[in-house]
Amino acid sequence: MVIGWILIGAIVLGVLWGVAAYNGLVRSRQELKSAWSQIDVQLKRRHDLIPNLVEAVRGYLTHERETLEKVTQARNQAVRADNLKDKAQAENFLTQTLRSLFAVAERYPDLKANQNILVLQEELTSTENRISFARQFYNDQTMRFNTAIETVPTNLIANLTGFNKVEFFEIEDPAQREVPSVKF
Amino acid sequence: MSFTFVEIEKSKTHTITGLFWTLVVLYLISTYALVWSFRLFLGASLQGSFLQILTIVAIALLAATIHWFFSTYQLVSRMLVAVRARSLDPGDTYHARLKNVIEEVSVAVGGSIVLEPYVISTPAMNACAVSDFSGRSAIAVTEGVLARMNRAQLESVVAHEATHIASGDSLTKSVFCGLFALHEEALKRFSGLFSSRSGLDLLLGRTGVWIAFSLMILWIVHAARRLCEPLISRQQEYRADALAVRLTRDPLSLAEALRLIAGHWRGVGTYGESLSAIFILDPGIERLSEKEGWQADLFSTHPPTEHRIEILLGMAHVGQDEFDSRRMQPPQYHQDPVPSRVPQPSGSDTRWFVWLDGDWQGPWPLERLSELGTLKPDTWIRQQAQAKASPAYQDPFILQMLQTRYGYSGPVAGITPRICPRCRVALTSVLYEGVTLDECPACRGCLVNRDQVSRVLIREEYSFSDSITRLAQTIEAIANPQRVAKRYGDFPFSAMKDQQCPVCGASMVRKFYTLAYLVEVEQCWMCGLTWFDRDELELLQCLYERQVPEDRRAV
Repeated sequence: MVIGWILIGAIVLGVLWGVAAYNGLVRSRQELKSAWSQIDVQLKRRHDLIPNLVEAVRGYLTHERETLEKVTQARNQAVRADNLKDKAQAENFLTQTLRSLFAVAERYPDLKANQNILVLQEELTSTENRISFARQFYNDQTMRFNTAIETVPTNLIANLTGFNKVEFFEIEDPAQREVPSVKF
Repeated sequence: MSFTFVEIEKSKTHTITGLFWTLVVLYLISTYALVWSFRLFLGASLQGSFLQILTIVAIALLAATIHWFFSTYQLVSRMLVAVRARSLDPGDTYHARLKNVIEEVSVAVGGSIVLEPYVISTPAMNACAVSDFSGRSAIAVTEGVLARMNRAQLESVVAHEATHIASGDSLTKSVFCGLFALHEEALKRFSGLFSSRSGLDLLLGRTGVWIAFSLMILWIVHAARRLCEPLISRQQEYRADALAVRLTRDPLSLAEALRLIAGHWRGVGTYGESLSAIFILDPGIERLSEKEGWQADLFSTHPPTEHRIEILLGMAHVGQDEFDSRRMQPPQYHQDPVPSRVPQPSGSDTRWFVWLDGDWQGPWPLERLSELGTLKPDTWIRQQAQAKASPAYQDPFILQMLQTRYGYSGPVAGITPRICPRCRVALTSVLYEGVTLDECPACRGCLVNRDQVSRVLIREEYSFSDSITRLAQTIEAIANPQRVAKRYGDFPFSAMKDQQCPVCGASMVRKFYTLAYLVEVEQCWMCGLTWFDRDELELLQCLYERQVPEDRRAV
């Protein structure tokens, strides 16, 4: 009789724990979604800034049409990308082309004097930082989520209810980990 | 160390509850003491009935609750007023950078908290964070920090403050300051009124009584604050440093920033030292803050700065010696000369004689005058038929012609522009040291308010031309502020009848900017706007910078 009660108690406790763990997982998945939308917002900010930047420097960089075109192209590609992998790839490519644009711009001292471009430079630096911060936050959340669904005992609930591991938003080449330094 | 803010939230509510109950106990003790002394005075028995004790407890609870709500109501705005914070100037590039940095950091903590950016208009160096129960949070940074720190250092300071807000330390500290420090500051100002023997003194007569009374309350509030200080742990600063590094991944910049702040005036005197808990470094250099031990742990709100830097250097794997030697390197100056400021986007048959090269020349029609580059707003002109000569700006046709020449094409969106008090030409907006100023396109003088002057003074984007440096040296060599002060008294000025303030229309007064910096300027006696003639602002800036020792300048 007593053992029966203990068993029933244990089962009830187990079910309660299971519900709590499931809710916790759902919550962190929601947090992941909002972290991802933050990256999206910042990426969009960058996409919106780039046409302005290209327009502003076009007058100075008359001999660098190719570089400018590449940036525009990379930007359009990044806007079109929809799944995570493509997006990461396109954004990496965009970062690369931006970096080459800034390297080229180093050679034009006139650019330094232009106030509009200095303002744009500040905005772009800020956007690059925001993207990397948003990515950092997203990856931190991803790590917490992945750890939760792979460790005992939450992995039982995760397997039962079909939670899958989430990919990191990563930059593949470690040499590119640094934010491009935006300097004219 | 956990970075989920829900978990940290729990410890924060404990401290806040603790603060409330301490307040209740304080009121209980004081009510009881009052009743007790009253009875003693009347000669009644000291034994109170149960009902009486209950009443005392109820009164104490009520008083504490009233005190609590009164003190935490609109806490953020009141704290911001107390530290003299102002909202950002949209035309200022340094402020734009601060806004961006704060938004970046808010992205880094997950984007769930809105951080309002503010600046404190002082050349001192410090930063603070405040929040209240309504969920409002603000970060305020001094102009000194904006001018002297690079982006990475600013970012780490803001990150430190943001983690204070996110972890709820800032709420606890703000409530703590709201309960006692804000009242203490107000009382200090109140008793300061008497000690300076001002008008109130004459008004009230019995000064001594008032001083004694306000000092007594001041002492009680002060004692209460000291009593509650152990609830504010100095460990919170270590934790905020660590969390800030976790956000920015840049411990070295935070170490540099702390060193920079520690080496400068931290603003004691500008904002009350009883508010020190909310700042990144203690504004007053309190000896206790720099000490270890249980007493310091209990009663100090900030841990030793050197120890904080040591921990950060440990994270960055940089040795103390290496760090110190880096600091000793002479700072890199921008060697660009002052650029000519680039303006930014903001008829009849009569003939005139123009006074050029010591002779009347002409008469010329308006079209010819417009081609005459040497014609300035203050050049003497005379209409053909008249004998009276006047400055060019007094003639409406010529003034209009000059306006067009300087790129002014009529009021934009119905806003009449500010007019140069000398040339009567519309002023244009220019950017100098990151501040948007109104400059006259003709005489290159500029109109600046006090806030903007203090910003320009501490920023060092451009070096000065040789002539300005020489002029500054001459002024330093021959000027004797004491003698000037003796001769002119506190207000060396003479009113300029024909020069009006471009904004409020009151007359401008000619005076030295301050007796410490003998640069003559025109100042509006109503609104305090200052007119600097060409190069005078640079001269003032040069004089100011020459007073700052080499190793303290912006890096």
